Amino acid sequence: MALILRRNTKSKMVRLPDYGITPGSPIEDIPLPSKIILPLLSQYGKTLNAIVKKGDAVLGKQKIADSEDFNATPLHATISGEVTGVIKLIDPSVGRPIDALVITSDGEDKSIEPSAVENPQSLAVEDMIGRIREAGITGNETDSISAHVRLCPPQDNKIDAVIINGSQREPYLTADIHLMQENLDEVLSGATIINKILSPADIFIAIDADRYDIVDSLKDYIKTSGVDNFRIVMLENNYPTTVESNLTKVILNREIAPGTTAADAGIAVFNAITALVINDAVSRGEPFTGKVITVAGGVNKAANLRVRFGTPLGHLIDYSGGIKGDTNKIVINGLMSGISIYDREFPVTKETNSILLEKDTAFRERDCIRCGKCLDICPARLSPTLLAAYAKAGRYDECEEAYISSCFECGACSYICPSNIPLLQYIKIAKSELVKKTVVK
Amino acid sequence: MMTLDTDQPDTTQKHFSVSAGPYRRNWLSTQRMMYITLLALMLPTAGAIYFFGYYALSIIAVSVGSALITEYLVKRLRGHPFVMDGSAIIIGLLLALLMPPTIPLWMVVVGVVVAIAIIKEAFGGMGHYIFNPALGGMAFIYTCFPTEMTTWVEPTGFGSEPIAAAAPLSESFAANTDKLAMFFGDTSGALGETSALLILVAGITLIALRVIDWRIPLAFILTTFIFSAVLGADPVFQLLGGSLMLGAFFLATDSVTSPLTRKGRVIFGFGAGILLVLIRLYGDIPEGVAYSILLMNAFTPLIDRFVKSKPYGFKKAVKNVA
Repeated sequence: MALILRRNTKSKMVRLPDYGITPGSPIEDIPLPSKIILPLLSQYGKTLNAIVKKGDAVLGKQKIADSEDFNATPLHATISGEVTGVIKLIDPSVGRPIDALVITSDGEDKSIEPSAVENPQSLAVEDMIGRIREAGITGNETDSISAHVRLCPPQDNKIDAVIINGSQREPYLTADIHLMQENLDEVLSGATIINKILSPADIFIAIDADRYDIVDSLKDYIKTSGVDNFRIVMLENNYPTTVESNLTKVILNREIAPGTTAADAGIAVFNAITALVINDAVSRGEPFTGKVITVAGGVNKAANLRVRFGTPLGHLIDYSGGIKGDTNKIVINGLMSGISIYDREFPVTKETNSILLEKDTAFRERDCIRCGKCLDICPARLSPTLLAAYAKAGRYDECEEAYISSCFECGACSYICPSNIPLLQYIKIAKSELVKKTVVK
Repeated sequence: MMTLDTDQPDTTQKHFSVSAGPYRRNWLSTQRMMYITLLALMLPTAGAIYFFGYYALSIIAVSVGSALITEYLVKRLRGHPFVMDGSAIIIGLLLALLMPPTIPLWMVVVGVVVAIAIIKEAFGGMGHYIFNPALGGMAFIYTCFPTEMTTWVEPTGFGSEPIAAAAPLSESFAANTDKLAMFFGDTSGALGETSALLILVAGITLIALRVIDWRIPLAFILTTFIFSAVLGADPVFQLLGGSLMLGAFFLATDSVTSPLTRKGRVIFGFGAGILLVLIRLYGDIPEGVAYSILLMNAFTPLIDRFVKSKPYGFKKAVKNVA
């Protein structure tokens, strides 16, 4: 197999103009927030037990919550200070109130010394996975499976392909490509660790087709390190080609049947950030306490910021020079598949990858003119207009027969619809109604 | 704005508006599609007026005007709000472009009323009708007033008296007409169908702006060309004569009455092409574009039912292709 592969799906795309974070502008560190808010949640719906209580003094990188469940991931304090309370926070990903620890900063940012190892590559696989779990790495991929779970696939699922996704996943989100530029060596050592643990036939490093600057350093690294199963995949940068659930199809032409995971198809997908923090965790014992996220849109200074978890969104907006004009909406995790947040006190969590500020726009829904644009753009080859029509009529069983479970909610159909029909919303409604029905059964 | 603390400046705004994503929409809205189509139709419309003079203009004005009035009245009757979305104008304009140059104006009104009131609105209005309203209205007038609908004149432009001409696609028409004249539009025929050039320019613009899909016109025209050649007719004559160009770019592509899937649209165009050649060469009427498209409109639900792709994850996995 060739070293460099190209994947191109030109006919289907969402085009959005750029927000103007120039490629090559450095990742910025931000000043410490006065307090951080850490939801006691690991993955979807799994709550964590707090180890500290109100009034305790904590240090940065100190473990403050964990669970007996191996699949869950521990949580670490991201600044030093005092636990000043437990508040209820509505988490948009689970849609119900969950406990969150509030830590007020003492302003000194002291942290415990992580346990580094001399020669990380010589560690046993079990030790590596143990160190990765301790670091609490989760939330970078949309399927919300923690890194260590991804690294221990079930016995009968041999992982023969690994995808490290360093491409821009949605329009405007440039954090991943900036990370690939500035921290390429760490991402690649992370990939080497993943390679050692899973020993797949191929590791695909996916980058955007226009990132020629990265390609050369990638080629150099692969040559000098002597790994023979690394492949560079250059993805045509358009949405929804780069939707994570679509990558296995785009790169390997393997589709993940609804209700199964990528591991069942013999694939493990990691975001570039995950590879980076896996390297930190294994070689230096660093827990996952922050990441690079894009802050752009209606702020005065768009940038990619290195942010600690628990930082209130408002703190980032203030750092970025405040809100411009009549911007009145905070969208996290992308304009296409992201959600809007009501409260500027809502914290950055492990799942957050971007904050985009938007103007509130009303879209008037009209009758479907059967133009077929949603069918053309759907990466899951569904008929969104049909699903929406069934959902509108309450005929959820027919949605199921029309393979609604294939939808991975990229939102491209709603974007392209000339009649402004909120197709994704109707599909989500039908999906949740179908879940209710199975629960009743 | 949905802020709770309204007296606070924006920089310290505490609460924000929320809604469901995606937060951006494509520029091409239904309304824009309609108005772009209308603008594109201005080319054949201008051609119609250039070739057939003031009477062509009055046919177009009466047709569009009565289409709007009918749409307004029917919406009132149904208790629905009247939306100026441009669809009634397009139906009225297309119907006018399908009319022979000497048709009495009241017949045009009959056709428009049938097109809007029955074929469009009685079937549920925008997005729900099954037959192309302009073609349905035209077929209705054709059945009621066959003589007036088949009276043709030479394109004499403004001022001069109409001179009787041979019916498009008839043998005497074929004998007397130069293909270059057919391409530029200097022949007898319905108002908007004569100039292939103007229709091509308008149609390709619409394709480039993604207002219409290229699959239907291409499949329709290509099938007609090849199939008529196979059956021994002159394919270029079949291509340029009659309303094939207008039908392929502006009537068959009506999204409401054509299939949803790309594959389905190719089948639609192919079927229309086969039917067209059969009607033209073996039928009793010289022109069959309207009937071939209307027949394929009837097949559209069937095509949509059977031409589907297996969604993501339901196909059998193909391993190790990379």
